[in-house]
Amino acid sequence: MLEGSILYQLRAAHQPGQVGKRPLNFGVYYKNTLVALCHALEDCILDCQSQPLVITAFQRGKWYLEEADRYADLAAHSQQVVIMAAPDAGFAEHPTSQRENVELISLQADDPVAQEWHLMILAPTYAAMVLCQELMAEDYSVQGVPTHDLERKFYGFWTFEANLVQETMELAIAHIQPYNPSLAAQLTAQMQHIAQAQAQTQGRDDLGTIVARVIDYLQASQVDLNGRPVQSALDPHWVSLDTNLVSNEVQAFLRMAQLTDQADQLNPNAAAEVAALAEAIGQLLNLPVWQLNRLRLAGLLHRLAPLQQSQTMLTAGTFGRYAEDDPTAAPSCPLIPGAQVLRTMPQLRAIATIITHLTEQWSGNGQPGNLAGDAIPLESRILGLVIEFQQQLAQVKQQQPDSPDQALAALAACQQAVSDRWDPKLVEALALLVSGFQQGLQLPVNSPKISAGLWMVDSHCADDLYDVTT
Amino acid sequence: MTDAILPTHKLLPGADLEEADLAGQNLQGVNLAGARLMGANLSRSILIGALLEGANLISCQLIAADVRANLMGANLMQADLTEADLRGANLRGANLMRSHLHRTFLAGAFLSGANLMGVNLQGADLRGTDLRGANLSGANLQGANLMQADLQGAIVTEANLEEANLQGANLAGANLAGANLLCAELEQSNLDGANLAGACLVGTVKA
Repeated sequence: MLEGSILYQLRAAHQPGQVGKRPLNFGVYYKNTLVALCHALEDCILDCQSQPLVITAFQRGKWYLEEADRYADLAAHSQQVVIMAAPDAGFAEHPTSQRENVELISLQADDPVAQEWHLMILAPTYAAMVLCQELMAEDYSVQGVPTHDLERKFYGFWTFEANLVQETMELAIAHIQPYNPSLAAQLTAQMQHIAQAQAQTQGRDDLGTIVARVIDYLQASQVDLNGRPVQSALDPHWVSLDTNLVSNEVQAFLRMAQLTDQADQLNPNAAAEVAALAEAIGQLLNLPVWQLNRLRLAGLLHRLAPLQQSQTMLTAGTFGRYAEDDPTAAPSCPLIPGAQVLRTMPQLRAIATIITHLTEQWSGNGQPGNLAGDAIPLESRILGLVIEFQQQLAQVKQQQPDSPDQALAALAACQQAVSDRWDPKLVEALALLVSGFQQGLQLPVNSPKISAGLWMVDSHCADDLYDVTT
Repeated sequence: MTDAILPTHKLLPGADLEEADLAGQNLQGVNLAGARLMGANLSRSILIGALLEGANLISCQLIAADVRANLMGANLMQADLTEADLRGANLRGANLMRSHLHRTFLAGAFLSGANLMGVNLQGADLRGTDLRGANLSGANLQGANLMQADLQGAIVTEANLEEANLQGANLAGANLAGANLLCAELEQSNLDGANLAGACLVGTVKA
């Protein structure tokens, strides 16, 4: 990694042991993926409820010129746009470059940032960032340096985390300082103003809509790849490019779920803990491994569904697909917004169904489908119970931090609703697991390595489960 | 021998079952040590606890079979192990060259000294596997989960470990020359005495 680059500085600030800083995991991105991803995150600016500050790094002026017409529209919806690039002919002359709220930073040839691809967007209601560095020729292993532009490889990460975007913007502004001190001062003031506005407003742009756009653009890129003629220069490698796109579609969901975790100060580790507990219950039930993997992924993504509000939101007929009084309509259930976003990715069809039915009850009195007993998908039953148990456990840990019987107390809360809300045989399996905890059993709880979540997707996640929403 | 029906627990060491159709059979605990099963169809069969030590399973079909069995020193060259369950299986010294390992479940398997040259284990769950001294030269382990795996002294030359999760893995004395470790997760992994000549470590904590 290039010393002095923004990615390098950010990683240094997040080395293990730095207080309050989570170590960063980097992933691999083809240029093909980055183009689609950045276009999606940029186009969200056009629908943003507030005006963002946008700082970008384009490597070379010529790459910016390919996007300059689009950037005129983006600038019209932004407070300020900053373009960092090594200058090429026409770089400064383009009409977008002449706009009042667009500033160019002509990077020196030896500036490490000229090897980086950045997009930082910070608004009171929207935050997103792509932070990458290109591989050097010597870093390509046996497969060699790519011959096609779209196959160029980058490494880094992307995120919706506002605090990380702000931290990185501070580094970028410090980098701009020697090039243009007055601009740096102006950017600092604008960024602080946005941070204040962010703290004061509860409203955020709908992340589901943003993620749906990311999925849409990545999928469009897949269609484009698959439609290429067989003799295309990309042909032998399109599988890798396609895999990279799918991987980032999954990443979009994992990053969305991650934000829910981070916003929940009382229970910030719910996704990882629920996934580990669900996997353990699945093992006790001797489920096949593909189902364990699918259960694990559904656990990691369960926070996409707004469960906390589900009791009030899901009164029958409030937002069903069909009018309740239409006797000709097929039976259906209300749509769960988080699960609907998942449905935009056919590879996750089964996960969407599992999450849709998390709030069913064993007795048949639950929503959204009034399903009863074994008609509720098994994984929905397992996850529903485990989510309740994990939430109870998090509460007990707060209230009785020193009690050795925390797990027993959380189990007792679940047992109260056995046969009514929960499947009795699953409560029995949970009791078995809890007795294990009492005897010293520990479950390995690992936060997912978001950049490499693909290993779980390949596990019948695209199956069509029994589902009344179809 | 075709259309064979094998009662469980029957002792059939050294049996000649070449090309046999044993698909979907319950072969739990069967003793087939040293048996010749070349080209046999064992897809969806249940081989939990079976003894297949030194068996010849070349070009066998074991699709979606439950093979949590003893396969020590077995020859599984070109075998189709798609979606087979080999969790915790004993595959010490087994030959898995050219075998199909798509969606094969190998978590916790004992693969020390096994030959896995050039196999495709992209995105595989290999948590806690014992791969000591195994030959993974040229294997595709991109995005594989190798948390807590033991690769001590393994041959991993020119393997693709891009974005692989090697958290807590033991790579002491492993030969990783020319391996691609781009963005691999190497936190708490042990690389003491590992050969990293020509390996790409960009995007890792070790770079």
